[in-house]
Amino acid sequence: MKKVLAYIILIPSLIILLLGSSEYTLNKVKPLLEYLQNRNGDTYRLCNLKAYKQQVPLPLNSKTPPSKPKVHVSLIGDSFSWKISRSDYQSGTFTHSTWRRPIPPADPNAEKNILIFETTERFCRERFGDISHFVENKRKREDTTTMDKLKKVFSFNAEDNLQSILFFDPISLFLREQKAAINQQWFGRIDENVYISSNSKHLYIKETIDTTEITSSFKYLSDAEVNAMVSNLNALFDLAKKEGYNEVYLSIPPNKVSVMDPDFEGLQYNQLIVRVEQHPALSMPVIPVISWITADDYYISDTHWNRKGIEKWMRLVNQIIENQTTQPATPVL
Amino acid sequence: MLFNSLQFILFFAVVTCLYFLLRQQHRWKLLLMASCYFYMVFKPVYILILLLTIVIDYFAGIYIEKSEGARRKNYLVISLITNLGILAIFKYYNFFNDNVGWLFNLWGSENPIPYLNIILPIGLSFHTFQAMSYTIEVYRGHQKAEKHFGIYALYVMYYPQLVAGPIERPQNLLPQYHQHHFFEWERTKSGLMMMAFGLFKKVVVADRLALFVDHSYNNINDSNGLSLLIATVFFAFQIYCDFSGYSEIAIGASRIMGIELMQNFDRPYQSKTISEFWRRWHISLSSWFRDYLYIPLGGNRVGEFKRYFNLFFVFVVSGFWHGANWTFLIWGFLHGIYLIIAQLKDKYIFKRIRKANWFENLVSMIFIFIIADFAWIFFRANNVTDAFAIIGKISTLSFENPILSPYNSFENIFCLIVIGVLYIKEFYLPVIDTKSNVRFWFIFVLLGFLSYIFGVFNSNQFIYFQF
Repeated sequence: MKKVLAYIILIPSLIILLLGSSEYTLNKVKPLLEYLQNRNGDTYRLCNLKAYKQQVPLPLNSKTPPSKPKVHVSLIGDSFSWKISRSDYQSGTFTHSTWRRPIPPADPNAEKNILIFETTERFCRERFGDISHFVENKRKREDTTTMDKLKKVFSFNAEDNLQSILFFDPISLFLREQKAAINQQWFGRIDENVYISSNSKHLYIKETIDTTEITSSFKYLSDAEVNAMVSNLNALFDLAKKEGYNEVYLSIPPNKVSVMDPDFEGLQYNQLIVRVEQHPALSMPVIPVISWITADDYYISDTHWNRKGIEKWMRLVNQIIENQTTQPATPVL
Repeated sequence: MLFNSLQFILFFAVVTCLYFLLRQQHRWKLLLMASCYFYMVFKPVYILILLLTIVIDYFAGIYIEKSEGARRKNYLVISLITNLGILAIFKYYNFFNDNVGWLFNLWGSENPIPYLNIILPIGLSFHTFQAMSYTIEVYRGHQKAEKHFGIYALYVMYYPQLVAGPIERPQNLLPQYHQHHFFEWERTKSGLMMMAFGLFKKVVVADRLALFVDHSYNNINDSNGLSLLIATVFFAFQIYCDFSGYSEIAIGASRIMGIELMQNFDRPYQSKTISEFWRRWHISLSSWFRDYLYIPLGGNRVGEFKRYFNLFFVFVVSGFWHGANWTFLIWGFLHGIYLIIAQLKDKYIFKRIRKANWFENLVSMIFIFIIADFAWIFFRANNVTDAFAIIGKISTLSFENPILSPYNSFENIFCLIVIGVLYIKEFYLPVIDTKSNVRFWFIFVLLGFLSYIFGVFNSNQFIYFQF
């Protein structure tokens, strides 16, 4: 009886521990885990405030066939563009790559090759500040040493993963929401990684606000740094042209707080996007976002844009694809 | 791996179940592998340092036992130099270098000694002292050298007490690894209850008080005297609940497997004298210093002046053991002075001839709390300048500004209630009775629920991990 009990405790504990504690095993269930973690919004996941709970659906597949089969689109993007399904693009072929990889090769069979650099505002300074791996045409250095590999076995993110694996059921979610409610109502305290917007309708993630982090919309940004970023973007533009791309675009979805609360708690927005996009020396054309995006285009419980925001952006991108056989596009919403 | 993490709860469940499913001859392998994993979650590469000391001390123990005379001593010296050398490099090198650099600056020249860009391996002081106690005990003939390399490695690495003690003695721990421990429900209940209460102390009391303490001690200029006074009182309870909470989880986890670790705390804030405080606070370290430093220096057998000097010296070393910072040295210095004054008072000024009544006991307890708490200011302050600034603000009663608090009024009251409940519990119920299954399950589930609902979970490390 004792043995049976031991096995009943041992087997599930071992499976969950192995799954959650190592990136190697975690990769096997990553899509499910990401869905479980973020299904109600990535910011909700941190704070569990019920008032801000909003379902974040998985990407929808567009049913319409591509209207420009001879156009190839490559996109170097992040979680904003990962939230869009590939079939939403009206091009014949489509490649999605990340900022850690080199520029993907252009499609030699396509009549036109388009490359879009998409990055959310909070990663601009990191990504535009160092483009050496693009220049060297290498994957950004990672997991090379034995130590790096060991770190994957002894995952430092285990706690977060284990929480998602163990506590995704309605009872656990209910308990988490109760704890969050007690903390907020009794102690006036919410998760330290989350802020509530000035109008109390949205959640912001701390890294977009905390002025000690380069991801913040409010961290001081010097003209010299802007110039350096633009210079790197121009180098990327030239590099992409050499790779065989006919057109290269830049698109920067802003941090939610930059759009909704540019003077949040008396802080001053550093205007990163406008200063980069409107820089006179920038040679890369822009697919604008900050000029049209509003609070309605974001999920309230998530850092990303919602379906409405995605559709607006896709309209701009597909307009560029549509315009290919005639002339280079200047997208208009 | 932090004790207040889900990863630890699962790890503990897996290791404990496997432990009882395995035969005795294989259990050490399981515990050793589990301990390696537990340690490597913090920083994998530092396992090599631990391995180096284990190998050296293992052979040192065997050769000390085999040898006689000067050779015997030489092997002990090699072992001690290795252990203290590693501690010196990782913990004290940059501190000495900073101070040497300061002296060079005074003379207007550059410090030629390079700065080492190293991180202190977690729990280094703890497992170094535990390893040293083994070779010293073998040298003294109180302990036979452990021939089984795996068992010896486990003695140093045993995961419940690897990173923050209790600092065990080989006589207590080594024989237990050779014994067969059957599963006992009564022992398991007692261990689980210790763990649950330890976790409650850490996440509900220590980590919530830490919010106030950190806020005040990191914003001294904006905090008034009252804020800093409250923060200082809160810190006394924070560090107690943090460290004793850790110890209780360690002792409880080990107890379930049948391996008893020594008690590390015994309600220290109920002490009526400073020497009693040190018999109740971090008992495993105090007794280590008593056995391996104070007594070898002469203990109580030497003259009065030498005895006071030894006492003072031991406490300054104890302060330095905690961290390479002047703040810890001053903390040790203060406790050394307290003890000397207490002994002088007992000898020359005031000798108690009758048993103290409850009121005198209460006054003594409050007095000991105040002087211990005063020393905590140095222990917690970021540097000596900050510590004196805090004392200055508290002593000048600069209470005119509002209290700088991250708490709302409800949270202030909550903290006071929690401290009050803790005091009452520890005074009247030092050990929670777990004989009745119904009572056990009720209290265990309640503690778990309260820890979850009222706990602060923001990856706060245990304070003593840094030592």
